[in-house]
Amino acid sequence: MVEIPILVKKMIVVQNVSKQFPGVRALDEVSFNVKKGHVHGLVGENGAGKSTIVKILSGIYSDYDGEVLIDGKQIEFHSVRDARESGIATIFQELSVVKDLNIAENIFLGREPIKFAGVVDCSYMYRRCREVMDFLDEPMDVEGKVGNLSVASQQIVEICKSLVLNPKVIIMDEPTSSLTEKEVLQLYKIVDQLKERGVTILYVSHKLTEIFRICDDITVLRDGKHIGTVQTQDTDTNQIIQMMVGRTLKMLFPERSVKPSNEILMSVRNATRTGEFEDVSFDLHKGEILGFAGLIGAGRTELAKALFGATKLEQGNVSIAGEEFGHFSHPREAFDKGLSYLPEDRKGEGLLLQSSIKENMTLAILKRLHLFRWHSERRERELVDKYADDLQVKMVGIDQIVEMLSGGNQQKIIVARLLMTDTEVFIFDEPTRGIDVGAKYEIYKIMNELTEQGKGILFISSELPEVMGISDRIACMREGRLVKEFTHDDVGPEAIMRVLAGGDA
Amino acid sequence: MASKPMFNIKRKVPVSLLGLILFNVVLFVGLSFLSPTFLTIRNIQSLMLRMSELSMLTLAQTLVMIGGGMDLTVGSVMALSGAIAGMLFRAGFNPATVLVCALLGGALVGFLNSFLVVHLKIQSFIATVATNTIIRSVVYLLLKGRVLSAFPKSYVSLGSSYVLGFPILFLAVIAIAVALHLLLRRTALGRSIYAAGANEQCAHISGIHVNYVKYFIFTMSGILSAIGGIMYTMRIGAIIPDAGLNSPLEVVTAVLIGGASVRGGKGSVLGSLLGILAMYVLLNGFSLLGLSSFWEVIMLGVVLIAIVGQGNKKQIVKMSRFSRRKAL
Repeated sequence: MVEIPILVKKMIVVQNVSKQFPGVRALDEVSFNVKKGHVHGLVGENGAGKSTIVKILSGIYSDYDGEVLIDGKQIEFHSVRDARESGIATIFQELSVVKDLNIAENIFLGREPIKFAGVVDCSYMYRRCREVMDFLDEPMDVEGKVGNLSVASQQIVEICKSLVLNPKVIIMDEPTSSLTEKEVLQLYKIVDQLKERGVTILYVSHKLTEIFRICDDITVLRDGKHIGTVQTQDTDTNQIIQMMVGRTLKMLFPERSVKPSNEILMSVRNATRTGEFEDVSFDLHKGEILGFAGLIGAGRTELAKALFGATKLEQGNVSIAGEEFGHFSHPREAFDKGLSYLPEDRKGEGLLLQSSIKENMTLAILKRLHLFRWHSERRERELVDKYADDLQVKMVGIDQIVEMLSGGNQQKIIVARLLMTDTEVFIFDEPTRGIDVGAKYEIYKIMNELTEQGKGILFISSELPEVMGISDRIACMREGRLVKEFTHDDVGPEAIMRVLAGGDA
Repeated sequence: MASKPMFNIKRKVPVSLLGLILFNVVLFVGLSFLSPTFLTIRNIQSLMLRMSELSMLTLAQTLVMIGGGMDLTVGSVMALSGAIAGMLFRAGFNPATVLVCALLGGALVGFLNSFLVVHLKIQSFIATVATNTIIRSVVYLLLKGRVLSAFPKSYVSLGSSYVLGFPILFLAVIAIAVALHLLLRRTALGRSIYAAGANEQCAHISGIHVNYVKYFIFTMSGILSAIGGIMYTMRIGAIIPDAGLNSPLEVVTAVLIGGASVRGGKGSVLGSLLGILAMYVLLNGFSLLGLSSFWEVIMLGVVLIAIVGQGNKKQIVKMSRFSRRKAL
C-alpha cells in the first residue's frame, strides 16, 4: 500500500474488519479510512452492514476480526463507555432522552458533576450546558423539560450530551429518520458547525440527498462488503446508487405492462380534516397507479387513513366505481365497499407480531371464514397456502410466527390480507419502507399485476425515485394540500422536489 | 409448499400447557402418596365443588385478559349478584326473576366497565379498581354488612346435587368453559378478541370493531362473574359481604399461570382452568397435610412472580438487540 502523505490525518482506520453472525456474514473484510475533520458518509441498503460498523465503533460489538484504529491507536472496546472515553460519541436512531428531566439533567445523566457530600453541582452543570449550546450556536433553556421540545430539539440535546465529553468523533446513525424537512436543515447547520470546530463525523444514512448535501467523502457498503470510497465532488447520485444496489436505476422497477383505462374507479372530492389536510380532490382510473409524493408531514398518511375510515373524514366525498359513499366510518365499511389500506407502520399497525402467518393473513375476512362450520380450518389453511404461494412468501409453514420473517415477507403477509378482501382500490402507504432491494422489486411486481387486473392503487411513498419509477401519475402534496399533478413522463425529480419543498408550483 | 400433517400436537396443545398438565399430574400423584385422604371420591368431589365459583371468575378474567384488559371487579360482582339474589328471594320473587336480575346486575357492572374503558379511555386496570370499590360498598349497603341466608331449600339443594358422581355446579362450569372455548377458537368474534388484545391498532385497521370487542368482553365478564355469585350462594346457602374479596388476585394468577399475558392476545380456557386447578389442589393438599393456609397465599405470590418474571425475561431477551442501543 502506498503511504499517503500526512497532510490529512486519518481519524478512523478500518482494516479488514469482518463480523460473523449465525448464518450471516455481516461484514466481509471491510477497509476504509475517515479523514480527520471530515464529514464522512456511510451509505448502503438495509442489511449492507452499516449498523454493524457503527456498533463496532461504538463498543457494542467487541468480537470481530480485523483492526480498527482511532487517531492512530488500535482500539479494544468492551463497552459503550470504553468508546466514549476514547472520544467516540454515537447518536443512535432512537433517542434516549428522559422526557421528565430538564435539558441539563439529561445531558449529564449518569455522570452528574458532584461537589461536597455528593450534592450535584448544578451551577457547573448549567454553565457547561450553556457552553456546549453556544458552541453549537443553538441556545436553549437548559432548565426546560425535554418532553416539551420538538423531536429535532431533543436530538440536539442528544448531540450536546455527546459534546460535553469533547469527543473526537461523532457517529450519527440515521439522524434524520424522524425529523421534518425544516428540522433536517437545522441539523445540517449543526453538522457544519461541528465540522468547523474540527470534529470528525461519520454520517450513516441511506438518504442520498442528505449525504450529498453535507458529506466530504462517501463510503458505500453492499452485502457486508466495501464497494468503494469516493469524494463527494467526484461523484453523482447515479453512481452511488449503482454502487449501492449493484444495478442501474432502470433495473430497479419492473416494466409496467398495462396502460390505465379511462374509466374512473375512485374519486375523492374536497376531502378535509382540520389540521391534517384540506380540500383534496382527485380521480383514480382502472389499472392506474397514482403516486402520492410529499415530504414527511405533508398529510398523505392522514389523508389515506381518513379515506379508509380509520379516522374520521370531516368533509368531502368518496365514490368507488360510481357509487357515492360520503365517508367511511370504520375500516370494515371500507373493506366491504372495495377499498383497502396497507399501513405505513408495518410492525405497529400492520401485524400481530406474535401470531402466525395464517392468523395474520385472514384477519380482515374473519366473518367469511365461517369458523364454526366443519372443516373450516382446512379451508382456511388452503386459502392461506394459496396466497402464500402466489406471493412467494418465504416461510417454514403457515403456522410460523410473523415476527421471525424478514421485512419483505412480512409486507407480503399484509398484502395477502388485503388481496383476500377482494377490493378494487388499494392504498399502499410506504410499502417498501425498511425492506431490501429484492423484496422491493417483488412488491412493485405485485402492484403491476394488480393493475393488470384492473385494480387501482394509491401509492404513498417518500422515496421520490420509486414514486417516479412505478406511478402513472404523481400527485404532489404539501402542507396538507394537493398542489400539483404530474404525468409519468413529463417531469424530472428536480421539478417534483421543488414543488414538494415549496418552491414554485 | 411442504404439506404438513393435519394434526400437529404442537399446534393443538402448546408446550406451555403440556408443562401445566404435567405439573397437575405431579401434584395429584404426589399428594395421593402423601395423604391417604387426598385421592378419595369424597375429597375429589368437594374439591370440584369448591372450585366452581372461582372457576367462573377465572373464565371471566381469561376472556378480558385475552382481549388485552384486566377486570378486577370479578370478586365484587360475584358478591353483588349473590346479594341481589338473596334480597329478591327474601322479598318473595320467583327463582326465574331472581336469576335474571342477578345476571343483569353483573352485566350492568361489566357494561359500565367497558364504557369507562371505551369512551373515557381509562386503562381497564384503573377503571376496574375504581368500580370494584364502588360495587363492594354497594354490596355492604345492600346487606347492611351482615350475612344473608334467606335462600330457599330447593335452590340451595342444587349446590349439593350430583350427576353420575359429579357435582352439578362443576358440570355447569365445564359446559360454560366448553362454550367459551368454542367462542374463542371457532368464531370470528373469538379471533377478533385475540387480535384486539395483541395489537389494537392492527385489529382496527384490519376492519375489526375493537370497541364492540371491548364491550363484549367486559359485559360477558360481568355475566360470568354473576353466574359465579349464583353458584356461590347455591353452594354455601348464604351470601357474605366479603365474598370474593381476594379473588381478583387469585384469578389473575390462575390466568397468568394458564399462559395469558398482561399485554393481551394470549391465553386459553384450558390453560386458565388448569391454572386454577393447580392452585386448588395445592390449597387442598396444604390443608390435608395440616399446613397453615397462609403458606398457600405465600406460594401464590411466589408463583405469580415466577411466571410474570419468566415472561418478562423472554421479552427482555427479545428486546436486548434494540435496548442495548438505548442503554447508552
